[in-house]
Amino acid sequence: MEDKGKIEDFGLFTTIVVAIVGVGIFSCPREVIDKVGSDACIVTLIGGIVVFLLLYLIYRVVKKNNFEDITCILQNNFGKVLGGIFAITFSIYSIFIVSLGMREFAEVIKLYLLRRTPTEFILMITILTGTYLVRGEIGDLVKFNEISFWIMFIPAFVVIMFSAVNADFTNILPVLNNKPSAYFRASKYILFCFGGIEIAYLILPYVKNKKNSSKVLKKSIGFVTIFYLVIMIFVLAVFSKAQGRILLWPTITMVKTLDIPDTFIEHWEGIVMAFWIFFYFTTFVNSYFFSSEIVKNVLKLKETKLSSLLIMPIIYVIALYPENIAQIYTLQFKTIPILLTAIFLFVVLPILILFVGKGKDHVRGKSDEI
Amino acid sequence: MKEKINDKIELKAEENIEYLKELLQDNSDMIFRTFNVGKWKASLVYIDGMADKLLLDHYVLEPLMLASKDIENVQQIKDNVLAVTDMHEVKKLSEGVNAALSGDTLMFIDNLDCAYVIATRFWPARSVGDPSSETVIRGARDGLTETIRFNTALIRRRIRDTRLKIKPKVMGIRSKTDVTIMYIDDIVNKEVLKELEHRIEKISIDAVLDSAYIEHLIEDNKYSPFPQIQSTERPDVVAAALYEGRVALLVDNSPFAIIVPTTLPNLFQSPDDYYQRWMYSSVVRFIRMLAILISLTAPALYVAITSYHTDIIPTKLAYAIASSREGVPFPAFVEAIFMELFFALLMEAVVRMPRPIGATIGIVGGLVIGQSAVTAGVISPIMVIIVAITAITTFIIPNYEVATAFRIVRFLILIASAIIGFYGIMIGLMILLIHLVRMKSFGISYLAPAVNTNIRDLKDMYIKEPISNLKERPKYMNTGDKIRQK
Repeated sequence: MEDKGKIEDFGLFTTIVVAIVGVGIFSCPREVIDKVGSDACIVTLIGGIVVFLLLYLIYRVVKKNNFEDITCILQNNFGKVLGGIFAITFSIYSIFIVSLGMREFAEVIKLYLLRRTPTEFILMITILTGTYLVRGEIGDLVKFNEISFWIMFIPAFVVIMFSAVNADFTNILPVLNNKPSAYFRASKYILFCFGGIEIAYLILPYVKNKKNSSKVLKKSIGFVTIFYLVIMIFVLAVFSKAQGRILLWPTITMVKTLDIPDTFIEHWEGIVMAFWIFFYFTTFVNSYFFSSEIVKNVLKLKETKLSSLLIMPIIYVIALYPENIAQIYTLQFKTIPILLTAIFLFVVLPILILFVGKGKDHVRGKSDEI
Repeated sequence: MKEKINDKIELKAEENIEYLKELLQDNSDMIFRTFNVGKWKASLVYIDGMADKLLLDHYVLEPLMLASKDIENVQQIKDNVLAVTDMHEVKKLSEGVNAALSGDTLMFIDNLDCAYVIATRFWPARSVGDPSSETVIRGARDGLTETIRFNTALIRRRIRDTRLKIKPKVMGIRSKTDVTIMYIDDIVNKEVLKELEHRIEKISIDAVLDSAYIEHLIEDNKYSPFPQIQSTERPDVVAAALYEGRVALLVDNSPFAIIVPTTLPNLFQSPDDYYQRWMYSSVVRFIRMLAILISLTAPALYVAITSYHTDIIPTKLAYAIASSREGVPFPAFVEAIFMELFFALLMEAVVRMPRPIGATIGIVGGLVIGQSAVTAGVISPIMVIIVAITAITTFIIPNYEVATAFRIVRFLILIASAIIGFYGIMIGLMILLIHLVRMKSFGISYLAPAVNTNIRDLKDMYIKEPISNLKERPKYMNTGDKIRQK
């Protein structure tokens, strides 16, 4: 709590960016290209716009409630019990998505780096490392995000540049030759790529320069959209849509095609994999912190240390639940309850709060308790 | 633990002396001299070896003896007779005794309810020489010594500003070590200063033998291998730190000053960066960062690549490594551990040995034993190369404590890489990053300005811009006066 009003613009920017950009980068291209072929770029843009609107909703909700944290907002607007239930739903949803993401991440690591290590061990190590960070304050999380931003995107830029050698940009054409319903179905996948925007609920209350925050949010969504767009374009350019729908993780295969002759390292995917650990880890740890904060506030515990210990085994169990990769994707994209929860949390709830909620007045009293 | 000294100064000088002789019995170096001054008796107390006898003879006793007949009242002695510049009155006996134990001379005169403390500190001291732990190519070669007054003088020569403050403190209940806090009043970050004073007040230890004691008692996180307080032997480093709004502590008997708050980028800088041309300094900074990365990961990468990820390196290189490891009985991890251990032993031995033998052992240990081990087939030649590279890159870091911290971390990352290969290295580095991110030094983030970045501060971090561009003081320090040059 002592960090209130301490997070600078760059911290906000990087937090949103790294929390959103995650392992979606691996799997999304295949799903989207499968549905709409070379229109993946357009779908990405559409996804970006939709997410921008959702984030704007979040910003308006937080602003209307005078930049209080999410549990306060929900409890003020819906009463203590119902608000608490909504908050816990948020927490469970975040954890569920991130645990499935962790399983996917562990599978990628197993495939490319560590073929014989048991998955449980990889999961445990990752969760423990995340717990070490979550035991700090929110300022620590933001600092970690700031550094991760550079570690993630500078190598990404280098990889993209080198991939351009293999790219044939005519593969991106033709555009706009799909039925509208196909766009709609593909959007489902791209929106999961953009998952992680709920981190804004966590960060906005602690921002130093509140007036600037909406501009920073716009910039961060713009950055993420452009980044995903570039990845899509390059995957299409390097592989063309026929192969793009077959390869399970086209982005990684794209990296495999890198061939810088006569260097120390022949197969770059191991090295690049190492950097991409950061892509997943930042998404994971931001969601983990967010959920721990919610649990802490709802249960009125004093520190996130306790709530993170509660959540830790849940992540482990959920991550071990799917039997293979196909089941992960089924759980993520095709389960109706998950979809409904997502729509409820990100669309219905903010609209409810904006139009029905009580707003600023009651908030002062509640916030003194915490 | 606190000693009991009578505070009252008797009106008769001899009574005071009797009390002191009893208090300080069995001390052969305490000298007591009683003499007459006019109608009254006076006495001097001092320690042989710590007080300047010549000053006492010529400028205290001589004028007193010569003017003995002309003195009308005791008050005159201080104002008209004693030919010393630095003396003051004490009303409490305990203060006088502490002064005497520090090398000053205590003077009692009949009919005076106070005593005089005459500054006569003069003991065998090392002259100002090269700072042994921080060498620079260009830059001053004076280093701080064990006498605090010389140190404050060396620093004051570089800051002739009225706003420089040198606040004294006495720490250590038995050692009563003189400690000074130095800062520039209108630049310093007041919160850091307040926090520092608060932490120092809390210390209640019997002896402060070195600045390291204070450093370890006031630091934020004692469970981290990384130092959160910078210690330096160079007065120009101290002065530069004061100009940036930091606070320096000088401790008597210690040639190392400690500076708070400290960030990791501070510890990566050397005074040479500022005295050499900026392009070279920028390159050197880049080399340092590269060196850190190499020193942390080189043995771990070797173990990971040979044990887990043999398909990463080009096939020819893989064959070369495999053939050089032919016949080596141990797995890569055990080799790496052996070499780390051997290297650590060698380093400790070289530091402790007398100087002439030290160099020889270095050569014998490194070259001969290393070469023989390779020929015998116990370790592979690649391992020797890796250890040599690691050793060289570890000591590129200017600060010794940070280098040792990285040695510990390297060892842990090596173990992690043996367990889960590349992923272990990355997790290890990530845990290191989280640890550094969570650390603070007196309220300032340990990794500032790499975190909470401000464009202004980047001018002196990853690269070093020319001094004409460094117009402001570092923003993360929240200094009072923000402008360095126009």
